[in-house]
Amino acid sequence: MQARDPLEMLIEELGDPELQESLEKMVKLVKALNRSGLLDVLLAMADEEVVARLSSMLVTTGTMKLADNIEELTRAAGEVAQALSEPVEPVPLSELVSSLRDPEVLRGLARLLKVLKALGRA
Amino acid sequence: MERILVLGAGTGGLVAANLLASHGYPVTLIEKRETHLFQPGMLWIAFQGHNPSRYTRPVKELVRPGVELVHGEVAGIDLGDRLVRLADGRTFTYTTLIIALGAHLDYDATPGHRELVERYGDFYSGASAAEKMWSHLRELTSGRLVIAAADPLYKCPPAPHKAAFLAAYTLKRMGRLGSVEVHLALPFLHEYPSEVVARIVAPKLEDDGVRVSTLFTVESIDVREGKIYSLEGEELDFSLAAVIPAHRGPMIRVEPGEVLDEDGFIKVDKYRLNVEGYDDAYAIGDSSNAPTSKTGVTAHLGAEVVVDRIMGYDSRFNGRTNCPIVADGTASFVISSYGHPPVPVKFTRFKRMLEDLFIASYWSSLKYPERWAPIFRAYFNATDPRVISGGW
Ligand SMILES: Cc1cc2nc3c(=O)[nH]c(=O)nc-3n(C[C@H](O)[C@H](O)[C@H](O)COP(=O)(O)OP(=O)(O)OC[C@H]3O[C@@H](n4cnc5c(N)ncnc54)[C@H](O)[C@@H]3O)c2cc1C
Repeated sequence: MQARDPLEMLIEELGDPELQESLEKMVKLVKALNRSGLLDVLLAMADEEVVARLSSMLVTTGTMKLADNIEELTRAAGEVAQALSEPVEPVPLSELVSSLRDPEVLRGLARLLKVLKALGRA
Repeated sequence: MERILVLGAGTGGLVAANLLASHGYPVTLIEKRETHLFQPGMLWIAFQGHNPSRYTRPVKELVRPGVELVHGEVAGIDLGDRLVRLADGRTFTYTTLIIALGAHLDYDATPGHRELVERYGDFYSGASAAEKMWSHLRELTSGRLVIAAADPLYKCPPAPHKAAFLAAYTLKRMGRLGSVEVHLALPFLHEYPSEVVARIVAPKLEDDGVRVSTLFTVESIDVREGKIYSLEGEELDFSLAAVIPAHRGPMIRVEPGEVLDEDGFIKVDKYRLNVEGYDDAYAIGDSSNAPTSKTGVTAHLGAEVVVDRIMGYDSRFNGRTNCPIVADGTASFVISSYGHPPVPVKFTRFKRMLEDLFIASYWSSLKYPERWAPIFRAYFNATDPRVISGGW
């Protein structure tokens, strides 16, 4: 098989109306990005040192653990938001003590203690 | 005149050659194949029917302009004379040598193995063997699919687990996981060499419907009868099977022979990666005997260390691994380094997305490794096994 001339292949491609349309849109996009100044920002950010600083800030043990648990966190946050929207009456001390028998409350307390411990470590 | 010779355009060799070129060094890269295969891709070809074209690229498209690419098969290396000989008789001299020839897969070490691969393909020997495996898997309506290994030392330790997860997922979608059994037979005491990892992987395998046998090292295969026999005296019937072959060092003559260990891997200083007794020759990736897992990540990081050292920095390799264990929709990583055994890493969707990003960046990271270095460095620091020893 004879290797084809890349220029010839390109010229052939350019006859394709879909490519022409894509290219027109691309040109519009690039112009718009340039006018908005965004291209200059991107160019400046493509610098190796900026990338290094940015990634060492964004990719940390903390963010990796956070992202890993984002589903649990958002689920918990959803439950908390729901609980906050429900009307409550002040709880007398006696009821507070008896609510400590509720396994959900106990699990919540155990979690809270863990969170407090982690906060103390940090 | 200075000439750096890099042998092998796999993961390690391409990263080393392209990095050196980016720093203006004259580099010659010798490779016997025309195309580079992203090896993990064989899993997706074999067990999910992906098109091989997604995972292969011509080598010449993966090298930077400063790299002189030579198509040829290395036959021998003379470290004393700084000479590399090709099978066709050509010779090359060097001032610095980087050996990145990968591991040799020994299909002759296990009776019946060649016949098995010729019949059913597998997910180690190449893209077309993986396609063959897929053509059999999609026809499999009952019986047992066995994924096994002939030796506990092979590249990418979680590869058989990934194979089992992906196959089970495919069969489940086809509604055949009940009538077809996916059976993972491992040459280890637990479901993974590291007990910490085994404790995380075992329940996941069970959940996903994969049966497991431990302490099963394939000794021989009877293709006609559909039986695999183990060194430990067990046997397994199969309808379809893929067995990971024993791995050896590259099949070339090396002078002096003392630099090879008993399996033919090149003995190196595990931190500096220079060939034992030579400061002008290095071995990286699967071809070296560095005491860490044989993975693409290890080859990539090793290449960075060697290039740093050639440039005069006292860079050290720390044996870091980051092998993904991909399951259905989630993933975990085997994260370890010298002196730090694998840490507990749970299966999550975020890690699966990270793995998808790693795969997406593969071709670019081979060709422009210096662009990716700061991002990878941040990731490897953030997930250093010393830092996340409590788990991730
Ligand atoms: C199924 C599977 C899944 C995997 N999954 C992962 C994963 O998820 N993550 C990961 O990090 N790693 C993974 N790996 C491992 C990874 O692919 C290898 O560890 C990695 O490619 C090693 O790089 P290397 O440069 O040492 O060798 P290779 O990439 O194997 O390159 C060696 C090169 O040398 C060439 N060569 C060999 N002999 C000669 C000769 N005599 N003359 C000239 N050229 C020669 C070969 O053609 C090849 O191009 C997986 C491997 C497999 C098989």
